Amino acid sequence: MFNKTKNRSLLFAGALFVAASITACSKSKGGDTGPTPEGKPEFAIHYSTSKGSYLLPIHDLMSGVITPVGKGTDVTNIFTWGENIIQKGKYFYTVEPNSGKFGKYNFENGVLQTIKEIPFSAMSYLYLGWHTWIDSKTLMIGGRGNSEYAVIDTDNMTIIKSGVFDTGKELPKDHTLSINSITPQGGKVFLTFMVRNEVTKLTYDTAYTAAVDYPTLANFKITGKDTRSAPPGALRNGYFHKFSDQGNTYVLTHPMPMLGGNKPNMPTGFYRIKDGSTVLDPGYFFNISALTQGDNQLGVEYLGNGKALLINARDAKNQVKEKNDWWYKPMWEYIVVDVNSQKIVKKLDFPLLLNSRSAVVHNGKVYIAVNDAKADAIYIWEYDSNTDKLTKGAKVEGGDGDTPVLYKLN
Amino acid sequence: MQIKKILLTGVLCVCIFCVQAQKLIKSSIKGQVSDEQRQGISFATIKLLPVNKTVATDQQGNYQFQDLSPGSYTIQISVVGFKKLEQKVVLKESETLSLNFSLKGSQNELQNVAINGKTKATKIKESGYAVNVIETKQYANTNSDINQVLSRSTGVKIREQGGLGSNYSFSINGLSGNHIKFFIDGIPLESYGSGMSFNNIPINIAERIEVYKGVVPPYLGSDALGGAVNIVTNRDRGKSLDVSYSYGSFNTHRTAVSGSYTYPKSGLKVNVNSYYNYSDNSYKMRSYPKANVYLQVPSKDKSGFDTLSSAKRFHNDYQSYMGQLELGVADKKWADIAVLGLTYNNVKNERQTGATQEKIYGNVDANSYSIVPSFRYRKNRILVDGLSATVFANMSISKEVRTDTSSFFSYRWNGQPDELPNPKYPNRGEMGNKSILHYNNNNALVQLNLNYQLSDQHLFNLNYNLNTTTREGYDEIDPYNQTYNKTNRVNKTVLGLNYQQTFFNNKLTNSFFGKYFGFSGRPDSNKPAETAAYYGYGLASTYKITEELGIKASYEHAYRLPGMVELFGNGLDVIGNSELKPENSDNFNLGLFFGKTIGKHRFSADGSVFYRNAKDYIISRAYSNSQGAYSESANEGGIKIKGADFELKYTYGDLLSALVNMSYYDAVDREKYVQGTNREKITYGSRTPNEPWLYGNTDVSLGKSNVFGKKGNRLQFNWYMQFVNDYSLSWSKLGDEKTKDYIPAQWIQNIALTYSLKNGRYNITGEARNLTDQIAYDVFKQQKPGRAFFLKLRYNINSF
Repeated sequence: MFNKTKNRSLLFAGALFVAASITACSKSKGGDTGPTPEGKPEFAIHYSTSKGSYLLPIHDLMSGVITPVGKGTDVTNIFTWGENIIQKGKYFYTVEPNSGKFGKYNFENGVLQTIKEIPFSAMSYLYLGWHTWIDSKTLMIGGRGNSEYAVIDTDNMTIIKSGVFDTGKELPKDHTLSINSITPQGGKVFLTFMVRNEVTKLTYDTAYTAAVDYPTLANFKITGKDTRSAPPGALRNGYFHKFSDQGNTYVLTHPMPMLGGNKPNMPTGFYRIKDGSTVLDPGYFFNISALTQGDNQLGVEYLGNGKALLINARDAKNQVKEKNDWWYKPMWEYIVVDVNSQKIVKKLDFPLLLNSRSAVVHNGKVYIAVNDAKADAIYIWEYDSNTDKLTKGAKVEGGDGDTPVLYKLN
Repeated sequence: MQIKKILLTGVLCVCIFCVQAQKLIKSSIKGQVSDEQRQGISFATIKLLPVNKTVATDQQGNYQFQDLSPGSYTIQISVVGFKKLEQKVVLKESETLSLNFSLKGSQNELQNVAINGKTKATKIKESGYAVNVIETKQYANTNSDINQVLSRSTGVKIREQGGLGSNYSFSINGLSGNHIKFFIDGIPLESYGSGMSFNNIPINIAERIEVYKGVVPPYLGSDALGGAVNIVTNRDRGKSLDVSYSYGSFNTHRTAVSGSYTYPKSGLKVNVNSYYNYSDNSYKMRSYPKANVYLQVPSKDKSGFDTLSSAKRFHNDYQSYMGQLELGVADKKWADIAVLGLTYNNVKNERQTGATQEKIYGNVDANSYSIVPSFRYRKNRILVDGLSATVFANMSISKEVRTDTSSFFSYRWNGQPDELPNPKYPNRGEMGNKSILHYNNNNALVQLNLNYQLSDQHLFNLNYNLNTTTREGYDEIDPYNQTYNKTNRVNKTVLGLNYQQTFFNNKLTNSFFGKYFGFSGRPDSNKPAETAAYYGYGLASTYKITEELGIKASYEHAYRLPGMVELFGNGLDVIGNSELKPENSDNFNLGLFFGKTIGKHRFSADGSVFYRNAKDYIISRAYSNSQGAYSESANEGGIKIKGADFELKYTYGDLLSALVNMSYYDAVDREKYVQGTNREKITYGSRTPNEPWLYGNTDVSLGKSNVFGKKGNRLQFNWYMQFVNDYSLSWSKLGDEKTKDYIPAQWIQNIALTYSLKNGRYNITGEARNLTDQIAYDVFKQQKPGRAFFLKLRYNINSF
């Protein structure tokens, strides 16, 4: 309006556009499943435009054209809030915040069918911040920016338990916590979170950890504080932020402005939680920013063998002039990091790209929806880390500003 | 932009040169046409025989014939609602004859409007602008509010979320919401505070409604991207009284009183306008598989859902009232009218749903009130002949409170919440955290309108508007609310200049106009003001090919400046975006009009095509952070709209009137590339979803006067049908058609029967809406009321 550009990122602390693309963080780790029967799609893609969203089966990631024109299920009125989508195999789950519903759907042969929808009002705010699978059928979900949770039996579609983590006297008055990751750990549930002073409206530059008993979810005990990086985990549901390798759990921090916790002076990195432990390993912090001239990263997908695919915001400090630049400026690059060697093992050979975190792993190869501003479309690229080979695949038509999200269905 | 400005200046210079080149010699006749209360009558037709010259009176009733040769003439004056008058005059050489006429009212003539001369509506319609003019007399006995009458008009679509008083979005030729501006008697509606709205103003307050499509004359001094609606109220009528009351379904009560009295000797005048509306709005919601609508409620064991076939709305009471009192003087040396006024309005509203009917509230309320002192002044001859001025000033003080403090959560259509108060969630409200949100809004407006009639052929109009707004928002129960308490201010200046010329015996009329928009804003009291300026321009032309047939064309490069809330937020649930650019649009209209009278038969036809190219479109995006859900405005690529509409009307005396109209538009995404790339957007050129694009109305009235052997009474039957074609809720080309949600086509039937006595003094009307009880939907598939019945009593006199 006044032809001025302002740095308003502080105003948007911790805020993200809903439209930001989503990657489900807990996909089944199927490994090699062998060839798939002809005609049964193994993958799906979800388009979200400003006025409608569509779920499409994909038969072939590596050739042809994937387009939502006249194809796929219109899921505009099912997945009304993209970040609330949870996918596991051929099943999709979502919390519909308007009608107060938790639904389970089956995506088979290109059709999304409702298996069951149940009333769901067990939180104060039906927008998800995280989810985790306690076991193959028990799903735990939580609200964004708070400490509410629900535990759901997805086989029987019943709510086992819901509530707010009772912090007892562990937190001072006028302080609230917002959970960034949840990990089942032995007989306990391990939480990482941030603490906010509601009087000053400030969130401390500290990663907190705590443990509660499972399944009672009682006996909340703060197990540690860490100032090496924060927030420990993601701020919104669907952001890839943790994986386990050789029994250890690795949690990616999200200090990035705008798309993360807005802690510009903190590095992005992995914390480690040793097998069975409920504290951050004090001897381990994989500081990725230190290897990228201070850049911040977001998670894309776990590749196996301690390697993760991340997307690096190259020189965002100088590149981002206004808020939209976080999405629409070609400044992103894919990197593969190894949490064991604590090294960047590969920077994928692409020009600087637009923001996208959509990829699936299949048969040891990763298929990435690459959003190159200069290309005539988004393309799926296959990266084989064993041979270090990049191959161009199917053309993805559409993607209205956001990169469509890939899902693996088995 | 610079070139456009230079061109515009050039056009204005040429026009002024033309004006000065006119020679003012020979004889002339001028004067004023007024009613019995000495109020000027605008748009009266004055015919001069035998030279066959015709002029119309201006807003104040003034007329003028120039360049006349000396000799004998006959002047004929005709205007709707008054008896025709004829007078012979003899004009000498170089004489300027001043002749004033006073016309007598004619009640009976109302039914014959189409036969005797042109109505005001026709006059405005033939002005070159693409405009619908609705004379509200024919609806005065119905239970309608302004919106319901407007929705019968071509190119207009009003999309309501529910019953009486519900939120609505007004669309003109495909541009809607904030892109349309509303006025009452030329005053921006927003300057009356938050409570005045077209969904609660009863039709009896209005005399005429003008809908300007795409191109807005500068005398409506505001920034409108897609058009404007101006309600002309029936004030300053000397002596008149209109009292009505109606009662009907859903416990709906509506009362309206408007009256006016001028003391003949002192010139002291009193105007009163007021209304009261109340409704439970407890209409039936229904499951409708065809539209994929199911009213789901938790099953007994809460393990799933049961579907209700229907359910009553249970938290939807609406009450609004308004009182306006004006005191002043008329016909003084220093003023034709000088009036002080005070308006108060109050709205209490229970909220039943969110943006969709999936989100149900059981205890959220919104209440507001405004107090608006005002002053208006009119003087017809200032310093020189032909110069007249009106001045208006008001100040509104509005307070709005939205309360969401219930501990019950997640209501269903059976009226029951899923969740009872739960100590685990002490702060949980229905819309987010519990809140009592206060919005305090103060607005001051000064408006000056100058008219200068240089001669018969040349009319200048200057409009100046200064509007200043401050707003404050805070949450009464947020214990940590210090960051939310913000005051901000916006000043808006609109300067409009219009030059209208008529040639060839009024066959050709051209209007050229330019508008300046000045803007300054202050995000909060600690920050310096920032300023910006923009220039809009346009023209409107009409040419009468024959007496019956005419063609008109208009164009405007229109702007809408972002509003205060869009720029600076409201401190609560809307985040400001001070980087917003104003949205702008190039709007084109081309129309044909035809009217023919043979005996008692009168036939008229209007048709138009239009094109809009709206850029830097301001849209509202939902986003959220850990503290809750917010919305923020942003500029988008915009839309291109092309469309057409037509209206055919036939009347036979006062016995029959039949109207049919149809509107079509195709609004497509005009943003070609995906942001940040040179890849074509998949929705580029596709029709924007969730908008009706084909709709129409038929409206047939049959009436007979002097029935049952009595004089002065009348029985009138009206059948009105509204059609809306089906439309898709999401991009229709994306996704498998079988899986898509459509709003089914709707044919809504309404009938009304009115019995009037004593020439329309006493009226009683029975009305049935949505007679066939169709399930009708509107924006985002919100269900509208089903069948409803109303009874209305009305008392009306125009002089006593």
